[in-house]
Amino acid sequence: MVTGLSFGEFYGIDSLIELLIFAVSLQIAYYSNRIYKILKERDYKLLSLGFLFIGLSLLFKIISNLTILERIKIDDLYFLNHLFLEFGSLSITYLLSFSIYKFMYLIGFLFLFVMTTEIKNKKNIIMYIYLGAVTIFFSIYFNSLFHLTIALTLAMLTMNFYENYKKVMNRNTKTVFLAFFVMMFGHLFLLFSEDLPLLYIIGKITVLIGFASLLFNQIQINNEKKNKIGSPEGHSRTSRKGKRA
Amino acid sequence: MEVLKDILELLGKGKELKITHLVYKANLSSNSIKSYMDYLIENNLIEQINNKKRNTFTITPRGMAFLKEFEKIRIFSESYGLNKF
Repeated sequence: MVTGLSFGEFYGIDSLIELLIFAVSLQIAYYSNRIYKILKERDYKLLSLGFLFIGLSLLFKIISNLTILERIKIDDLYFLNHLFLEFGSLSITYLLSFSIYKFMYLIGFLFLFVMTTEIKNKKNIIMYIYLGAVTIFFSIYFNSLFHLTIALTLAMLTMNFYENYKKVMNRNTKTVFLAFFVMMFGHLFLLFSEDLPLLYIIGKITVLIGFASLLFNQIQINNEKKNKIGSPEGHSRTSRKGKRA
Repeated sequence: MEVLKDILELLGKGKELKITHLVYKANLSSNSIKSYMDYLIENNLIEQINNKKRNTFTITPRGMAFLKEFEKIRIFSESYGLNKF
């Protein structure tokens, strides 16, 4: 039997993609947390936690990638014996890290969903928590349900960010809306990747494009010129009519 | 959010200002400024100084930090629909 450790499927491309998404997520989480420290607004905390969970989940995904056994030659007489001995110890790490990845990834997007949705009724919150817990539990065991749940959550987020874009039509709101839209498609590709393996890498790249768009938005924000405090341009009253209500 | 920035900018010039000054300089009505001032005080961005003669307001270090980062915070908040001020 020939066995070997891979760096994930498709010779590590997916691990590399996940590492990039990890970096983007942490960047957004850090910045949002910085604003939270200034404003103490709940939504910034949720945004920060959401991206933190998404980012950290991908570390567990990379660990799970490392444990995937590659190239198993079936004609080995001791195949089952070897598989039991070698896969047994690895599968614990794999199952644990893959389950933690799924759990944290789902929780991360759930935080973002709560952030964009104003849930006020306590009865509704209990219902959401219950349904969320059930979905997370089953998603850990069923891969397709996991991607479907993420795709649906992303569809809701996309709609909310589209509403935001309609309210404030600018490049940044458009970028965020499109980023989540692209990510949703990425997870739809991943949903069908068990039948068509090529869709796995297409899905991964599509998700990466979504996160890269968020990074692009973040770079634009960071490059924003500092507000000209006290300057006539920064404090102009000429365009305003009358008193502000 | 622009109104918050305007109030902080006025206070950020280093002076303690009375509410009447802020109403005048921020171009606000005396009724509408109250909610903004409450928000700023609640979030420790400004503080009220109660003197014997007059009540004034001053910016806090957190308020200064917010002011410096304002433009970035505004765009970031807008991007994710967090501009609920």
